[in-house]
Amino acid sequence: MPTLFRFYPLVFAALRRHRVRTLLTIASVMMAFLLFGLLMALSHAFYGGVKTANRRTLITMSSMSFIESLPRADAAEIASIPGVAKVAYEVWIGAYYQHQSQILFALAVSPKRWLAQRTRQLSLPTTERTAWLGDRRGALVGSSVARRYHWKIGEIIPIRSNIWVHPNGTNTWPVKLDGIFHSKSRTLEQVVILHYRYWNGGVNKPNVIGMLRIEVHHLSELTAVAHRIDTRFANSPYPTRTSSARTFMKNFIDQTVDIGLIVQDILIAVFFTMLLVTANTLARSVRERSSEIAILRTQGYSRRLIFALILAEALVVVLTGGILGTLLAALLVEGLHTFLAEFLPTLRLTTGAELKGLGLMILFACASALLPVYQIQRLKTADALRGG
Amino acid sequence: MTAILPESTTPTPAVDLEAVSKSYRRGDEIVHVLDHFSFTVASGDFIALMAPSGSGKSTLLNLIGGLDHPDQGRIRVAGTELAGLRESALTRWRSRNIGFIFQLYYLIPVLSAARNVELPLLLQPLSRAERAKRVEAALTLTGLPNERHHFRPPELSGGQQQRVAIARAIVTDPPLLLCDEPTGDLDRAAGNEILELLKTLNERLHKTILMVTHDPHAAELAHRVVHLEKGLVGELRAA
Repeated sequence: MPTLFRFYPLVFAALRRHRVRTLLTIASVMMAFLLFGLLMALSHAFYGGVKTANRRTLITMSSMSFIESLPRADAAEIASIPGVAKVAYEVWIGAYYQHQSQILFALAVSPKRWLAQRTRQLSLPTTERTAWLGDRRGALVGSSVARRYHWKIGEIIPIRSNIWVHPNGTNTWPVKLDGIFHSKSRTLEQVVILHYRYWNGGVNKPNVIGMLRIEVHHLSELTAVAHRIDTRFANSPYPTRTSSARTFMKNFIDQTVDIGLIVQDILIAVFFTMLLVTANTLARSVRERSSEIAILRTQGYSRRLIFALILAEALVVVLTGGILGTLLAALLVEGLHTFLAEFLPTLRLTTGAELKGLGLMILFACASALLPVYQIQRLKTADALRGG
Repeated sequence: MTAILPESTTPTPAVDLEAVSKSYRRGDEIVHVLDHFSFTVASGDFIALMAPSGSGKSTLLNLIGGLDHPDQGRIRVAGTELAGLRESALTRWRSRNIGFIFQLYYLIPVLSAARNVELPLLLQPLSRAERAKRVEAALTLTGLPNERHHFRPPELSGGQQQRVAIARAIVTDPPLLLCDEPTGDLDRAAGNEILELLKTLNERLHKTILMVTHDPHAAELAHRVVHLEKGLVGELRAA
């Protein structure tokens, strides 16, 4: 059989026949894939961190609730538990910059341990690293935050907290910007890191921590180590709850809203409707052309070739609409990210989502062509010609 | 009743139907369109088939062209027994041996005349240049003015559209042309031009032509005229 490409005039002729109808169908498919792109980006904004979280990391926090503190001394005790490789602790500052709307993802951490757990994820000049480690009032920030607020190295930044009061009686915690790091992780790019000692020296209830990040020696020990930690503190005044970093993040998100389920339900509804619309349009188009299809049969076009042509029509419509919709979604997501970076740092349309979209387009085109193919299968050439 | 037309004098007839029967179901009723119909067309012949509506003439063309299958009997076209061919083989055979011409032209309205004529050639392993050459030759042979080769069918007159349809039917050089009322949708002048064109194809290119028509004037051009009535051959006369 000759290559299908040489039949392109027939495919485009069919699409040109009712230009408005074809354009409207493409627009419908485009809208479906625009929505798909936006929802996939939103899903990634919520769950992206779950997938990229270090698989060997455990998160330990109070078993009471997320806002309850733990004693800092727990860190040393956890470090002695068999299977534990590294322990770092952090406190959520609940910070903003000049206005409440300028939310900062600020943490007070144990500096060396925090850096040790992120050596592969960060790019930070040695001079800035050294300066920060030696400066109790220093801060490290991701380049996205620095760019957004036009912060420069050496600048004093008045960070404000909704939770903690500074010894000066205000909620402002001034820090000196010692380093700006770059990271492929959009989440890390959004953080502001302070010294735990600076924060601890200022609060009225010192030596407490929000959560611990624990790295285990072997991935196979993850569950066992988590169990050992929680057992160790089970009968203490501060019982703990330990889970893998991935589980922790997923549970945290799911407590707020089950984004995955919402995305899935919306997409099923949209794609089912679009499938009906596209399949109906194609079927109608085939019905209108039954005599022309019959003529092709008289010229020696096999049924299989005509099926392939109809499938090619469906592919052109769906791929055009789908690719346009995906491109539009990518542009919109990039635009939205500049406004929502502080709330949804991982908001982006991933290559994986784009490839999933492409797969869906092909599946969608094949499914749309099923009804027309069935019509052609039933079409009797002689009857179609008689019908005129 | 069974009627058998005189056998052709040529050893390998272009069309040979032997005791062919065909019936359709219309609701609860079974309509016998052809009943033990036998018919032979010699190679290079030009036959006009005249019959009232519903007498089975289009069915006959569809059976000869392999678009429909008989209930009984044997159909042999250009020495090939059609019953022995599978669907895919029948499709390939049709593309090489049969050219169809219809009353309503059945051109694709959004393609140019040349593109319409090119359609059967897309199935053959020909280069684009070779296809263009053959399309040009076929359109020129049918007398469509050069400047109209790239017009779309709605921009052409009925006669010109039928010329394009004829060019499409002959572009693969099939030996047999099956014409179903080719002048039925044309005025007298345009109809005469198409008939002259068919005559030329028969005389100069030795195409075997089987033409269904209602028009006695059209039938006059054929070598032979066959009258078909209620599925049976009622009369045969030389034109």
